[in-house]
Amino acid sequence: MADLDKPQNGTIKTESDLDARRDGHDHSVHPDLTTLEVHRGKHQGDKYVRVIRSSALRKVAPGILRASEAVSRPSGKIGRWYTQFKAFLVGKPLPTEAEKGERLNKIRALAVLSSDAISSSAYATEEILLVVILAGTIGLFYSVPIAIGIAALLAIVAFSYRQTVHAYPQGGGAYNVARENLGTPFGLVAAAALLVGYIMTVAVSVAAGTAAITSAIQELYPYNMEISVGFVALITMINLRGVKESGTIFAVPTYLFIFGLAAVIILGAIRILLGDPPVEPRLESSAQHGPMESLSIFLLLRGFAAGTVAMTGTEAIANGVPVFKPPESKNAATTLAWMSFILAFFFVGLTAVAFHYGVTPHETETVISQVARIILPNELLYGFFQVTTMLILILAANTSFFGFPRLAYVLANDGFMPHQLKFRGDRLVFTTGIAMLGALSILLIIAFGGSTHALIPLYAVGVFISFTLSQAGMVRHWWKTREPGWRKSMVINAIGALLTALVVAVVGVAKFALGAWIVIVVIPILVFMFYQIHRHYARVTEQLALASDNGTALAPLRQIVIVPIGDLNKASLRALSFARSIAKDPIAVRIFYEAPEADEFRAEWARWGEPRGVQLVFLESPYRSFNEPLLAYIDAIHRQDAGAFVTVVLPEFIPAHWWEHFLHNQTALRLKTSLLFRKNTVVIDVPYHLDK
Amino acid sequence: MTFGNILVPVKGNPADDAAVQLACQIAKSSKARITAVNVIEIQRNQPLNVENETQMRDAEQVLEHVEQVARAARGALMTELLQARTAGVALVDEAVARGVDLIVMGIPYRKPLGDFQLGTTTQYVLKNATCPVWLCREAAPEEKS
Repeated sequence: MADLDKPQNGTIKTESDLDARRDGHDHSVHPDLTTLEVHRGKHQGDKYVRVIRSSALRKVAPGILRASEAVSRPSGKIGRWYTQFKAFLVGKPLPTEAEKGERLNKIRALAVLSSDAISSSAYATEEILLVVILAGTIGLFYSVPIAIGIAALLAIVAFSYRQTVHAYPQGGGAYNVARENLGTPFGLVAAAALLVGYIMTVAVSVAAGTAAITSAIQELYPYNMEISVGFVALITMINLRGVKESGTIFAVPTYLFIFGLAAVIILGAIRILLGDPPVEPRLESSAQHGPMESLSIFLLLRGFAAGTVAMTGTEAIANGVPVFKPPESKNAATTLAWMSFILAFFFVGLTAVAFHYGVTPHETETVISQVARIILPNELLYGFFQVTTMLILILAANTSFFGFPRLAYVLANDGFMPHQLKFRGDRLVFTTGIAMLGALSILLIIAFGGSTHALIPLYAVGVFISFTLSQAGMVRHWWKTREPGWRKSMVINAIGALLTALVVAVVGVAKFALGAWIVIVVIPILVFMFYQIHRHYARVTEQLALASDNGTALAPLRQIVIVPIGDLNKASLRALSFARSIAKDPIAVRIFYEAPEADEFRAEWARWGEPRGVQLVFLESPYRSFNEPLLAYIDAIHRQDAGAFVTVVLPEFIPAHWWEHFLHNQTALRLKTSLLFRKNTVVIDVPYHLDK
Repeated sequence: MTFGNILVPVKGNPADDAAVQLACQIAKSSKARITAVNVIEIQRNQPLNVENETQMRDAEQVLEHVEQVARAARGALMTELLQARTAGVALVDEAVARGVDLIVMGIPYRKPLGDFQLGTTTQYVLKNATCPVWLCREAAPEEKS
């Protein structure tokens, strides 16, 4: 027994300690919730120690307990059903240490982060043709040079973002670059532009995908909006399942589209090289009656600006560097290079093939569909390719579901967005950000009745504002750091900044009346909102911060304890006992409506021996209100002793069944609610659970 | 044959999993309660009530693992952590204290001296337990020809 007599870390329970506990004399609880109990074996001298510990909270180190998964499992039936339903929808909760396992390799990341950018190759060529065709057949000759110019711009922007992922491995993209190098206002403008862009990307891409479905199945056309909302809800839910899972689910259609379009372009190139004759363009739609505009620099610039929609989504990788498997920056840079190459190849390749075969925009068939119909050998392959195109258009929204929550997290971390956006849910994704994006996109779709084409120029403006600020920020970065090769990098970024700024100006002017003005209004509003949020958090921090002269000593607080009671019963007596345990002279407050009530209570109080150390006060309420006289009493105490805390100890009995709550008038609950936000007032609820 | 209270000694080796799965199967048919017990063996030069953080953390990890194994087998178990000079003695005494009517032990296939041997803990439990003891030996590796 000698080795057991000395307590270790204060947790040992010798047999005498245990006896004392059984007798009810020892109520001490070790903060680690770990107690060692000595047991005798069946043989003389055999002893072993049982480590009594909480199964829900496991001790992992001295003073550190870790909640097990069981803690999150609700005990009630309804709670269990809800948890099972939630697990069915979004999957089982993942522990924080599984975060590394949730990270993406380059193959998955390309699918998750590039679907937006790569999908734009499905319509960017058409956007150029729609502009240049206004000058008639001659305009079409410029489509390929314009596409090559945009590919060069893409290369510059991608180069810039490759530098960004190395310089800012914590993510944040344009926001971080602009904030750090150009100042907070520019960073916030970039962030606002990107957030707007993300919301619009979801609305536009899902609406475009839905339009593809309802074009094929005309009967569904009246339900356009409902289908779009359903798709957004579905993508939101899949994203709530976690980055890895959504990456796996969405990788298949993305890669099918990549291989499909690559095959179309390569087959087209082979046929052209083998001497397939070019086709005279058929001019239809808006340009069918001959040239509507003369070929001018401004028209070509408009064509260039229209085609730059191909670049939207390029920034997603730079925003989400931390989601890559280590080495994060290197993997992100490689994925960015792959994405840029694929996008440039698709865009230039498709434009060139379309030009060779004289494909022009058609009212009932997209350019990519016409090219695929010419190149692919049979209808089955063509149909399959069309399905993958539709899927990639819908999945473009997924990139936003990745980018928006991360950017919102970075902004929340810097105190420019609500802190709830920092919260990572059961599946280690930013639940609030994902839900917010889903809700805002659905609102936008409903507001536009499911037809969101009008939004396209808006989001191109937003995205290019962020590109411009990011490039300009990198110019400043090179100037400040002067790393090896800084001159070359600075020149490239400066060219990028000028060209993207030019795109902003051209799209802004050309599409101003069509809705680009909305961006000009929304971005300042968002920036103003960011500043207001930041000011609030700054004020909170300032007020809560410990001053250097505070020290660490905890000064005792003066408190006045009051116990509002109705009848004298077991619940109120328990509350009075509790009040006595925290204060020497608590005040029992009895509110009465008529004089006989007070007399009866006084008699009852006397009959039970006038609980020792408790002062009794009666408050008459001639207008039969309960809360108000008590609140007035607390106010009066505060007036007399402004520095004191008033602790209100509420006796409350809890019925055995939930439905029995409705049979009682919930006085304690109403009182708690009215006391909740009062200054220097503490509310303590002393429950008394009824067994039956 | 039905049982009401099953004890599964666990040590952190792969044989534990099979023992827990077997115990879960038995418990399902006889609605028995399962307790997985891990014993930290304390050297004689230390007091029995010493709190070795590393050992305790490792032991907790073993218990957490078998809880997961039980959940995967659609079973549930309680876990117990003991400290003793020799694991076998504590297991037998704990089984008596808990009124256990079956011990299911997983044992690894080991040939420390060229021939298969039961460990000392298993031997002690087999010899002294007052209830039936079922052994669940892991598969023997295939002999190289």
